[in-house]
Amino acid sequence: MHPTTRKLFPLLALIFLVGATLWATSFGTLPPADFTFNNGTEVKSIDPAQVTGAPEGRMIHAVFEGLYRPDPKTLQPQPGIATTANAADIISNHGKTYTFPLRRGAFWSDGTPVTAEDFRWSWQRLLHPGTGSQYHFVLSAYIVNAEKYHSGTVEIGDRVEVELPDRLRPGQLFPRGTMLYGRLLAIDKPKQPELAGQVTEEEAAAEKIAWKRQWVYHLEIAGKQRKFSQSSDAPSDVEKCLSVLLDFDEVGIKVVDPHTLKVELKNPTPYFLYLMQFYVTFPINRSCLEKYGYPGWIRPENLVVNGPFRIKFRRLRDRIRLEKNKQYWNADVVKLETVDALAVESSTTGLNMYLDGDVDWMPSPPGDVIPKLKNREDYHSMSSLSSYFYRINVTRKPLDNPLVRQALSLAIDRERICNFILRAGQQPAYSIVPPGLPGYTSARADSYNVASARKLLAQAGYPGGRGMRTIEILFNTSDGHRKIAEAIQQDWQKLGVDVRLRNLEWQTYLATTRKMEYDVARAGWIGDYPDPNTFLDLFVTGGVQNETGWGNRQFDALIFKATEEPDAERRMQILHNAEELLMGELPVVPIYFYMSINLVKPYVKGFYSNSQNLHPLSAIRIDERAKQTQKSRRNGT
Amino acid sequence: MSLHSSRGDKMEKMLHEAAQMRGSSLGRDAWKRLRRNRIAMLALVFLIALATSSLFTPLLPLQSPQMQHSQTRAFMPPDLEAVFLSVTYGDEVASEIPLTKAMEAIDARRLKLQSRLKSATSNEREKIDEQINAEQERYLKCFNQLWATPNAWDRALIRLRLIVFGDWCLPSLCGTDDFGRDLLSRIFWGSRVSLMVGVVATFVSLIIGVSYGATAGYFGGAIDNRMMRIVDVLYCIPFIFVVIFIISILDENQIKEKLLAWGIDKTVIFYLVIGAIYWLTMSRVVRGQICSLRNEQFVEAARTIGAGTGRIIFRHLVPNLMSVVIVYLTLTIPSVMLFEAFLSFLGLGVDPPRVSWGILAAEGVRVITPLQNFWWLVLFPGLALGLTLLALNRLGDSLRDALDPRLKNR
Amino acid sequence: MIPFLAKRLLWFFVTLWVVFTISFFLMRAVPGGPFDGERNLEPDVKQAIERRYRVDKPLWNQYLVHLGMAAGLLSEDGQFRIGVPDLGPSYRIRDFSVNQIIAQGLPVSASLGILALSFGLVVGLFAGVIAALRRQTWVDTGVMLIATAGMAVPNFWLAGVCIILFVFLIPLFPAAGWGNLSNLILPAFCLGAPYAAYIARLTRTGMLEVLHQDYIRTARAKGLRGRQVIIRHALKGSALPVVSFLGPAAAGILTGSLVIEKVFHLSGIGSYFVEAALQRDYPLAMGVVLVYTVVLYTMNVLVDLSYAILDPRIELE
Repeated sequence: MHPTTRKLFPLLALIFLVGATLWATSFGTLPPADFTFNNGTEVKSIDPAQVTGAPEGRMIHAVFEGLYRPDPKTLQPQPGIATTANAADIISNHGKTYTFPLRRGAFWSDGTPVTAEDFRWSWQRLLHPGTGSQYHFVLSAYIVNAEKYHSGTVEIGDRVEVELPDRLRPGQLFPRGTMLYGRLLAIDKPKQPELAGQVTEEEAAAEKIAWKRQWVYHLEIAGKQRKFSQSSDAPSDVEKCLSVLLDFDEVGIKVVDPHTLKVELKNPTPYFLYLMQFYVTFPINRSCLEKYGYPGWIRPENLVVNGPFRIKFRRLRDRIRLEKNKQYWNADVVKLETVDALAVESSTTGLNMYLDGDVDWMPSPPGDVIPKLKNREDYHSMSSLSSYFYRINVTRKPLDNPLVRQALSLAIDRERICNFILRAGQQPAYSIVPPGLPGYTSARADSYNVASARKLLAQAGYPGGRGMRTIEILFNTSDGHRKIAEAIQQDWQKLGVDVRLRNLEWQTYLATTRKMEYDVARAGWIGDYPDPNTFLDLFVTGGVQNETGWGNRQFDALIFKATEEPDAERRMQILHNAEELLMGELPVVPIYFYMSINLVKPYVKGFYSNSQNLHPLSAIRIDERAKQTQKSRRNGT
Repeated sequence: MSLHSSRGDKMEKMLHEAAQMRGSSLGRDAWKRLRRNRIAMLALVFLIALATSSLFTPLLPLQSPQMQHSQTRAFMPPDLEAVFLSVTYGDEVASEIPLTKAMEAIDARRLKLQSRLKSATSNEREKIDEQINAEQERYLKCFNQLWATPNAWDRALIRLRLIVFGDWCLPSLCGTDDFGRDLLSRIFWGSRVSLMVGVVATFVSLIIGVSYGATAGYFGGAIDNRMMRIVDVLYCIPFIFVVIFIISILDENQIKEKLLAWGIDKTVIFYLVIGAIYWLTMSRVVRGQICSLRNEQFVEAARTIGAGTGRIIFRHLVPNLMSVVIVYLTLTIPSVMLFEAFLSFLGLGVDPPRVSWGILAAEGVRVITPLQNFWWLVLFPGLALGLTLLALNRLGDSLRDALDPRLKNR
Repeated sequence: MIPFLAKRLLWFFVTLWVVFTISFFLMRAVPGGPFDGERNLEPDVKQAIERRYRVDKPLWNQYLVHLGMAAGLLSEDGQFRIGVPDLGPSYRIRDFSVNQIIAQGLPVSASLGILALSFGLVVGLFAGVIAALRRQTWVDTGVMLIATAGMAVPNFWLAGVCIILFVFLIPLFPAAGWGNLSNLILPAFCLGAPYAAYIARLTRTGMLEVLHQDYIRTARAKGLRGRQVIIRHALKGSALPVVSFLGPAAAGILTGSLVIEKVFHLSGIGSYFVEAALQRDYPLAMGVVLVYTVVLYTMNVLVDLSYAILDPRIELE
């Protein structure tokens, strides 16, 4: 090597280092938004058909608008794209038909009007099996034939739709390939393969789906008979297709005219209007999606919205910057020009930012500081429609014995958990359905009583816990869950039951509970709609969310009976009876009901606590004067 | 030696040193030098004391590390009031009584049963045996309430402690946590997990690293080249990533059951996995040393008298690595302990009610906010961790200095 | 030098391929799939999602397609193409591809990493030199004690304490966020402290070794003053171990920044090392692992090069 290079090298290295440092410290600065809040995490998506979480819900509520939107105080449906929320104007046919008149002044941000067809198409997308939406049941459970469309069930004589494999973008549902409509004449089904040996439910289901793909459908289309199959190795006279589904026209979602949408329900559903303000039912813009494809249509520069805000930019894991959508039909009431939704995951960091004045609204502050926050004026708390409970695997000994389960439940000191560990005013739970649902009284399990727990345990054959194996409590990695598990471990240990704790990270925890490889597992459930059924129908025999191995014919019958009961009062009574059964058998041990807690700066107006923790950004405004005084007071001290 | 001392001084010093020069083994020589280093000795004493205390933790008059008093003692600052051990005792009707009382009751009944056993018929004997077993279980359950399934060694120490100190415990000198558990006792019990992670994981890394590095270094050439390439490639996979996945895989139910049958629980897996990851650097260091030692005369000599490869590596080469390895060990233990703390921060550490310093430190950081001042929960775990790692680091540095042959006889 | 670089380049691709393969199969061996959630999916919904992300195909098929995509030879649906490496869509952050996610996060990580490393270098070299020159005096002991203290506490602990001290008790810095220099000082300090400590120790040892060497004695004998000897000769010699430490340090900072990113709410890629792994976002996890490999490998090559430049005795093999 040349000696000069050698000599120059340290100098070059130094220059490089200084240059790099200079680069590292040069940033564009960002002017602060009118309102900044902590959204808790990076949102998975802004596509209403893809998401399930509350942070995503906040963003979708900000950029899209459905038929209704919740009143920030009472959560009563307020007219959104629909012009009226008055039940008498909408509901007919004994509560089974809903006719929604749509607003004429509502536009997409590309200037086209929002029509009934947008809803029909968006809901078709939501229901289409290829979309894979987890929340499809919000429609499919209630609307006529929606479940049939979603599950891909077709019967001889049905009108069906066939999609040919000529999509513009092969991997994507939209724009769709050529659609053919006709009548189903017959289905050739090959022999269903026998499953050898032990197979899990999951494998059996996959096998069944694979088998269904081999079917050959005989159709009559425009007077001609044609054969279709999803399988690519079908005989040559069979045409290949992507799917054979029920004709969507058969589903009870009808466009009467561009500004009238008609929905037919299977049963009268008292809370259907509430579902219509749930973000999954919000429409998206078809031409935008078909033009850019997935996920291009969600990019801020492409996204066409109809809600109060539009996305200005999105910095991953940092923030989503929203700005006011001038084309929004009700733009006059929206006071905020810009909003920042931060994706701060650590609640301690979030609290620091809130206290430091970088954030105006901070949901769920860390539990440990709540006693200090409780008496401040910026502390807002409200019981929420969700329960925290322990699932018990009733297929394992000794937990198959109801006496043991009752003893375990009786020995949990829920008051201590709520008052000394959670400390945010959570209510101890003795039922699975949270309080506060109008017209419903919960069935209660017995409250804390160690003496009778001991008696039950002795009755079950384990006096003082002797002879009983170690019970394992499974929970997913989280500080809060760990604390509760530790508290319950102590309670059960005092009963004489040895307890081991097992902490698994989220995905492994899910897989483990699903495979029922646990004794006792922590769980939580957030109500999807304000009705006891959202909690109770989880535990029907073999239900997808049951996961306890528990099943009871009588319980199943009651849940089914409730769906068909038109009388609201009697329906609630039936559900109450079902819960009574559940709380007697205790395959799930309720622990407490969640609280939603928010820290909101006093100068933020239009923020109200409510049971679903929904806080529409369109209602929020900032009292500038109060903000200035607070800032100067802070700087002064 | 100072650079600025005058030349005459230097000369004199050197003469003095030359006069003192004696033949002595490297080890003894190093020890002599180490003993002169006051900080190193302090560190060594501290570490020995720590190791002893964590081995004999159950013997110390500490409060239960897991008994919760959330209603009465949560977030207590350091405090001087003594506490006494108590358990909930009874079958259908139970009450809270001092632990020694419960032990006495159990022991008395057990003695009575045993005396009856002598004069019993075989039919009765079975029944009495059953009752004795029940008493044994009762006794275990009392301990489980306070110390989460202690093993036989710990139980023996606890019994000894009950004889010496009775129910009396040290006051909460370091305050209590959110559950009202005594922080002092949790730090002592946590030291067992943290030190264990450090020592076991380092030991595992030592075994793998030395065997691998020594083999590569001894054979040299193509084998060495290939083996070291593998190390290079493995280096390029982030640790944390591998740890998460391996722990998750080994935690799967079927594998877990199998491992439990072998007596390997999650904590042990945790130690082993970390150890299995830290061997890379060790193997490089060892290989480098072996490469330079390989051509020394004593290896030739061993080879000429017909010693096998394994014998040469482990009998002749490895002992010569001791100095490098010891120094490296004192530096690996701290990094392993920090890694454990890091995993605890992510919530991937050992399962409660076991604690480690990492968990305590992470917990402390979580509860200090500008709104409340639970300084003891941050300070003491940080101090425990900090002092131990500092001691290990200082000791490692001093050992390196002491073992440096160029500093011989100084 | 050219053959050296060519050989390294070849090994670079081999390494990438091996890392890719190991990570790929390791990830798939773990229980729990990327599409599991709180709400149990019906089999058909799950199938639809799996088909969309092509995880319903046999494992070897997925492996080949992903490998081809990462090599820039295949498109997502298996067609041949030549272009930039494509790591596929993220399973979790569904609106973005892994390439986009990394492109957004890497500059932030790089800024933070460079600052932390410069901090570590400056403080570490300075402390190390001073300690070596005042060997076995209270200055040495004191400096080294402070320096090693940086290695003795976990960085989340350091960060937590620093926030309380320098944000709330003495309000000097903002609590968290990204935007200007003051946002970065605390994170860079907390991230760089252990490296400063390590570098200080390396410098001190290297310095002591060099000070005994003949050429320093010669330089002194020539009549050069103390400071000149140190800067022109001793420091250069003792910098070697520090330089070789920079490779692993850069990699360590990349993954170590995860805690710092979490505590200070910075949007770098460090967090993905754990998050993507925990959420089974295979493509994203693979993406960050490959980035890690590239950074580490490049740093090591640079270290080898600068070694050869700094020390004339070393030849590049």
